[in-house]
Amino acid sequence: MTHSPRLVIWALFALALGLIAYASPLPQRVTDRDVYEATAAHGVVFDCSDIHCFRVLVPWLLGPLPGASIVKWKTYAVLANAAAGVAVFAMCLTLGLGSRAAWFASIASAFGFGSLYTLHDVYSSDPLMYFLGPFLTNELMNGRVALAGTVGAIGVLAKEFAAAPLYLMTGYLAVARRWRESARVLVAANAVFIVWLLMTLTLMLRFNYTYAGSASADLGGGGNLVGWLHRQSARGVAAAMFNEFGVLYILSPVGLFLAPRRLRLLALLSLPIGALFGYVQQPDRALWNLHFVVTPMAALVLNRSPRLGALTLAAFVVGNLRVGAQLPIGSAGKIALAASMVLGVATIVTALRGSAS
Amino acid sequence: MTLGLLSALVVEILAVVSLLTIVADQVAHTHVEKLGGVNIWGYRGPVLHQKRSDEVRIAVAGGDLAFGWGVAASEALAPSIRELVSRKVGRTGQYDRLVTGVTIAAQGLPPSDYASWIDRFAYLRPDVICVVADPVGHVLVQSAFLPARHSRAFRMFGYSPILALVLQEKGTLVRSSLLRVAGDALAAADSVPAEPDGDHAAAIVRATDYASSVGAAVRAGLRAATGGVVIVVSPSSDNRNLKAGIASSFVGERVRLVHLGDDPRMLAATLRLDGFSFSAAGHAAAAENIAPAVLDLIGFHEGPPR
Repeated sequence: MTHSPRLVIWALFALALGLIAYASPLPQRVTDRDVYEATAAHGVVFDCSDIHCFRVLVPWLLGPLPGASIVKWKTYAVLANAAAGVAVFAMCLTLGLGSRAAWFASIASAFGFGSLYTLHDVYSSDPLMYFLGPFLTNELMNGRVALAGTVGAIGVLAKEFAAAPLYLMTGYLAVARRWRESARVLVAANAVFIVWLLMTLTLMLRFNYTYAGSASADLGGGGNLVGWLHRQSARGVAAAMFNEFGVLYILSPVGLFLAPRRLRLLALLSLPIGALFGYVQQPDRALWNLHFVVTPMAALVLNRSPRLGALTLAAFVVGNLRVGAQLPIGSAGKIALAASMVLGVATIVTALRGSAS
Repeated sequence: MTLGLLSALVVEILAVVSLLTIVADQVAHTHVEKLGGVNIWGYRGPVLHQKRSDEVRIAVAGGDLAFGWGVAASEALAPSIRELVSRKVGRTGQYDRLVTGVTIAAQGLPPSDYASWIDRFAYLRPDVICVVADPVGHVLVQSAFLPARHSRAFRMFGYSPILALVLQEKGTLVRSSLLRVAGDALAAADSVPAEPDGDHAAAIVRATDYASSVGAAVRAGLRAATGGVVIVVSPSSDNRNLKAGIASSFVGERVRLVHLGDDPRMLAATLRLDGFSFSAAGHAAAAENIAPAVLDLIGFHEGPPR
């Protein structure tokens, strides 16, 4: 795909996401806003014990820009999520999925729960990670290791997840017995990891940053997962986990069997990464970082039955407007989520029948 | 795989191992700094936050007595003084000041090094420094890690590693030779060769140059502290002449002298842990003697604020 269609897709996504961001209400609870705004205002926040203080890149970039803080952060979230959609589109084409499946996947990524939630709670490095995941993976699949390494090394200043796609591709190439390429990507991945370690240690030693206030660093004590499970009721946990991927939970496993070997490999190798980030972070949000391996698999199923697939995707997006962007659309959101599940099942049945025949 | 790739991987592995060792050392510090150890910068207790404008910071400098072997960081002399001062000028009092205390003493530190040690920690911006000099004749504790004065990292960057000690002690505790060897290897890799006769010469606190060493520490304290310096003479019986000499030489507008021996309680063996180091009760009793001088130096007087 040339650059101008990508730009068009990005502009379309940005426009739609911008409207959603505009309509999305501000969170009525304590968020990480204060921490990010302090980093934006001061560069470094001495003696900070919040994990978000370590995620400096986005506030450093947005801080000097003119305008109201909320406008800048919403704009960033919109642009990054739109870029994530485009990156998924490009990655799907690289994997040989075809343009319709790529459309399905990119829409599911750009308008999925994780993306839309960051339009509601915008003070986060997540939108950038949602973009970097598919972008870095695609660049590495196309052999652009230096570019991916450089972008990863910058991105890791925003959040540690930026190193994950490089290790994912290291494993992918190793399993494919492409040893030399795997070693090259490993060198790049390690370089990114070293940049993250150096930044973290610099902030700790020079500015007395600590992870003391974060359960994520308590690896032996259950990370963030155990605390999150304790704070939530069983119903709350189930609801949060369901909302994260919704109908993608049933579409993607089926898509795994329809997927080309390369995508299947990526999906399987991303499991330990998902487990790690689900453990150290809040799992209902952390797992969306791997949207770029989930949505292409789901798209393969949707693509087998395009009309039903489009309806399923539309219901999925409307549901996410409620649970992700928190738009006050009342029961329409719940109905849409339920409909997406029913339509999803129908799509799967149709797709499998089509395969059998 | 090309030689270049292999070299890059080896270099990266070395870099990652080095950085992760620092991370592990920091984790080790968090386990011991509140107990008997020191923090990453070599003083007792957690690393201090940036000093606030409404903060009164009290530092206790010196050697073994000031360090407070055998008690937790929060039970040593500095926090005990902090507690008493805070009752007068802290959040609950009418002065509404945040009071913090910090122990910048080191185990085995000879009096001749007090001044340089105070200079080292001047960046903590204490308001009052209490110089607690070990008594003449005291045999200094030979300590390699509290803080790690013989460490290259400490000398170059001020970072006091403790992972080696933790591994050695853990290895002894769980009878793991692997942990002990790892600890020994880390210690050996980071240690600076001992000076020919420096350590042995400093093993006993000698009367020679004692007063001048304390004087140098007082001058360093006056440079570092905005409020002033409290000279704390340890409660040994042979300090009468010393006390008189120090009083005539140094005591002035910003220097106060406290002789712990003036309080009979301080001579009681029940307030000592090993015949020398104070127990928590000993530190609390010593703090009762020192706190009035600290309050005086920060301008507190009973009655309404001036």
